[in-house]
Amino acid sequence: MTMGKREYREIGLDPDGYQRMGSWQIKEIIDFTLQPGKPLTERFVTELPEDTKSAEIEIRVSIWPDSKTEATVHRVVKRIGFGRGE
Amino acid sequence: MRLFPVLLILALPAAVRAEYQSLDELVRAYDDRPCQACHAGIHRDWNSTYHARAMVSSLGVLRDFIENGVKKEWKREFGKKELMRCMDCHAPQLRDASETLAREVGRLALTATDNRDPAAKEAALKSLGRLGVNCIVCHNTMAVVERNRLGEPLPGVFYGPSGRPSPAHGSARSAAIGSSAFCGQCHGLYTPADRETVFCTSLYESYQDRYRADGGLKSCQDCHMREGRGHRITGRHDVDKVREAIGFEADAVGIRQYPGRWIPTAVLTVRLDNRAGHRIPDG
Repeated sequence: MTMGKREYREIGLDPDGYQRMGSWQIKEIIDFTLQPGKPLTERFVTELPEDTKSAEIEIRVSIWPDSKTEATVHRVVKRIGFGRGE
Repeated sequence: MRLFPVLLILALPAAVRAEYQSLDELVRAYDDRPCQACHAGIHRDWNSTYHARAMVSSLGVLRDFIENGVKKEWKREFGKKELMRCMDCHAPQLRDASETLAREVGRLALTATDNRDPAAKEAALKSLGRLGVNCIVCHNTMAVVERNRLGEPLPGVFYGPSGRPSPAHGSARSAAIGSSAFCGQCHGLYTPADRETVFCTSLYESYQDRYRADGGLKSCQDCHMREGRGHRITGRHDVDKVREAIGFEADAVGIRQYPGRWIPTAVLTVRLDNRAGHRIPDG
């Protein structure tokens, strides 16, 4: 199951506010990218099935240098438990 | 010890401003192969970069621009003025192409992307692969940023940060070539003579308006070329470079919510820190 996803990207727009993909069409952007020197904290909260005793969470940061290629930049796996349960 | 003088004769491209009628002539005028004789390591590093394939790596977008932009949206024929909206940065040597040659490059781009004959596609790609951001483009064509004060780059002269004389070619110092303003000529918003911007990237603006405004003092070259990177000029296509640019920490904990029901809940905190001098992603 996916706990959550965040995408950091730009949306290119024409003057009418329509998203455009061609650099000749784009005249302004909505900027959802990571900004330099501005650390960012993201929180994710997910409820799990009631009988879950422990879980492994994979956290992955990927970049798409072009539309066809995905490269993993950072990846870590965290293991969590849920106490004794009642 | 006796010194033996060496006379070194190299046939170097002149990069004379002219209007070339054929792709062969244009490529010959901007031929970077002689540079390998003395700068083999630098040439090899450069050849691994997207600068070296700035033409062929952008063919899909160029094709879309020709077919969807110029022909359908703008309802006109594709020519040099339209080509240079892309090629002024992707293959600046095309500034010296005739109108006929510019149209041929457009046709080759369409062949390379759309033609069903694999041999024709391959031939077109091979032809276009000879264009891009090569040694002459950076060290002559684009080397003089302040053209109104300093004049156009001189034919046959190669500009570098030191201007150290060379027996092989004319040399001159360009202060700009080591500054962010040099890279900003292409890695920022592009406004052609008709003033309709081409929004390929606004990286230079991000660098100035965020990083420099916040007190950052490094240049593009400091991060992308120095400290051993040289002419590999690593960027978003190099995952190690991206990894260096994005700081990452993650913590996770399991809790039980809703007293009585005690629903197992995963809580995850991720911290990202963009340590680059500009937004990520961009290019």
